[in-house]
Amino acid sequence: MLLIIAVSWPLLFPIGLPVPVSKSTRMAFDTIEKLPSGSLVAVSSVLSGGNWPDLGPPEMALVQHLFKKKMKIVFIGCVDETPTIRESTLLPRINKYDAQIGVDYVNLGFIAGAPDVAEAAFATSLRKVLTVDFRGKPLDELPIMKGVNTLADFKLVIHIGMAEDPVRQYYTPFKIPLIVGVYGMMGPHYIPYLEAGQLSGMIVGLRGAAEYEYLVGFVGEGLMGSDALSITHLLVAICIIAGNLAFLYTTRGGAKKEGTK
Amino acid sequence: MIDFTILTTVFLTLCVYTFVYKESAFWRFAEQTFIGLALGYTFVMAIQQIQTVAWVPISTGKNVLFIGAMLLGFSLYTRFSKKHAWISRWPMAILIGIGTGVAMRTVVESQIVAQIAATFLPLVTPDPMKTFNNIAIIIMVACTLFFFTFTRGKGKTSGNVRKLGRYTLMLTFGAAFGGTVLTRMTLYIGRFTYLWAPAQRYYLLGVGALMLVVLAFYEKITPLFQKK
Amino acid sequence: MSTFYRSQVPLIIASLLAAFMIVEFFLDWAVLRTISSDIQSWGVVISAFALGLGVVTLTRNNVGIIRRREKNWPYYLWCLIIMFTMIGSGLIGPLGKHPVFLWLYNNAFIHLSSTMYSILAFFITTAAVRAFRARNIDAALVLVSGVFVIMTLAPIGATIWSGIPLIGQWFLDVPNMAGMRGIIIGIGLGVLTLGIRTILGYERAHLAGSGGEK
Repeated sequence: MLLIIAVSWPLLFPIGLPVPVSKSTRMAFDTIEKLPSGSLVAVSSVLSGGNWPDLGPPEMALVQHLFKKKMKIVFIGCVDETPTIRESTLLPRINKYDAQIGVDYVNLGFIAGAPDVAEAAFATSLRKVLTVDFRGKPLDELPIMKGVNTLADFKLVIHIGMAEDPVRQYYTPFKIPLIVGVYGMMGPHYIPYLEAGQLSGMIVGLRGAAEYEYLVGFVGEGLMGSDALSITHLLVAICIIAGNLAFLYTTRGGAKKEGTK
Repeated sequence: MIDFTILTTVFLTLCVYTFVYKESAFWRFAEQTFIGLALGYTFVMAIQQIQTVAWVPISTGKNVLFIGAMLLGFSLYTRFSKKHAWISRWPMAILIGIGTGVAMRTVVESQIVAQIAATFLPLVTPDPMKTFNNIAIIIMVACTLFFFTFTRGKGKTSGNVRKLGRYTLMLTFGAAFGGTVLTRMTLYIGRFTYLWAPAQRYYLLGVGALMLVVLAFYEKITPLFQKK
Repeated sequence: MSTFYRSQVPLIIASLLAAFMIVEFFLDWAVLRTISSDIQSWGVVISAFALGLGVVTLTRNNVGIIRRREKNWPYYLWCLIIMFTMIGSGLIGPLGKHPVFLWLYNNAFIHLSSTMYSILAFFITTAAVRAFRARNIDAALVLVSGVFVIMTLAPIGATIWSGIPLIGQWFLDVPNMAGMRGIIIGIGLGVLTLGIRTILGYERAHLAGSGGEK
């Protein structure tokens, strides 16, 4: 019940808390800002219906920024749901700034297999594992795919999902700047990659998406949900502290009673 | 005019949420619907992948060798036959070999060498806090690796090193827990934001009330029919 | 001889392929790269076939339950009906583009999928009240670090006290980073060990469940 109130209250009565921008989000933003307009960017993802609330906002924020900067975007999925959810949910909600499909962006579908294998196949054997785009148009007929054979032809790779496999398959062999949008719970796990210079930026879950939307200058699911995020986190923290205070009180109270006997 | 699409989405969502109270007929219905839809979707996407990667090159004559790949793929299904199940080991072995190879070839550089190199931080910097942090990081990484490598050890020094490694890991798990809370709450906020949107709100209240009545009725009535 | 084909040949295949993929990466010869590309594309095709295994398994399982009229069998029948509806509609016309297929995906599957994951929020809140106790120093460290990181990841932390994000970020950038680095190196060594075992043929886990023989 408390959880329902904690989420619905800020939705009905927005608080408008400021969203401080973290270093990892700022790094990602600056990396894209520094890229020349028209650069070829790969966006690979494990987006699906189940993880949309966590990974959808980071991908939307990053892709919106790419469209705003007039980059050429090649979308690829590492799981079967990604191309469908991109077509039905992600791309319709984004301002594409007159970008044309096949010329300025393309959805290549997905590659079956374990994440490492799918990413390695995309990075090294693109033309062998992808013959048509998600709409069924041959790659040879798409202007955006002209001269694109491996990941070395891209200027930036963005991966939405986990970070270990793209560091292994995208960054390590090709040394191309890599930005990741990760699950909230994996953010702390990937700080070593950020500090080691293997990542050029990291967007962590809904909070990271809110920060990125603020930097790009649009209101998406990140900023809309940040108040609710604050209240629910406060609720969990209070629950933990209250639970432990009660535990301390009962154990001390029990010890005192033992002492008085 | 009732929007059937919104009614379906709200109903299915609430069916899943009944699990928070108790496993119910609504939950079982939602669970089986989910399983059926997931596998059905995956199957269609698999056919699409086979068509684009293998069938198109075969039918256009660009690469007829993919027939071999398709035969190996079909042979995966021999695992359902007791007599011929061993045939499915061959394509599995191919997948294992490729997966192992692509993971291994970059793991040394990405996860071992790069991480160890990044641990070599300057021990003296102009900023005292940065100096302290760098020294702390080097010590904690070493202690953590020591904790993993030497699970048992004699002596006070090795015990203290392992203890510091364990404390470092506890702080790490605490941070991971913080991230987990972020993810769990995000997933819930995403759903609730959808349900509470103006278009869905009245369906939520209406369908929710109806389901509560049905569940309450079911709870009251079925015990009367159960044998004592 | 049959044992050779049943157990030794798969081990040899896995071993040779793993070794080849590694050698190709480091030698960087054009002919090896071409062969590697072909192998990877074969792997993608085989993986795609593997995606269909679930349908066969579920059908066999559910048909058995329905035949035996086990408890809750109507739900398993419904599962098969909806699955074959999804498959049928997906295979009509351009694959995966039929309106019924897309409607079921967008308005049933996505919502069910995200709701399934979202119920965990209730359990974590309940656990926060009842289960997360600082019973010893280890648990206390987990909780202190956890609470500061929770409040750092939420924008409200900075509003309550400016020190919260500073301390929380310190927990993330120093002890968490050090611990995770140790874990990452450990995982890397583990992947390496497993890979070497696969190449040497000691790893037989992938042979299980398909024949039952050694």
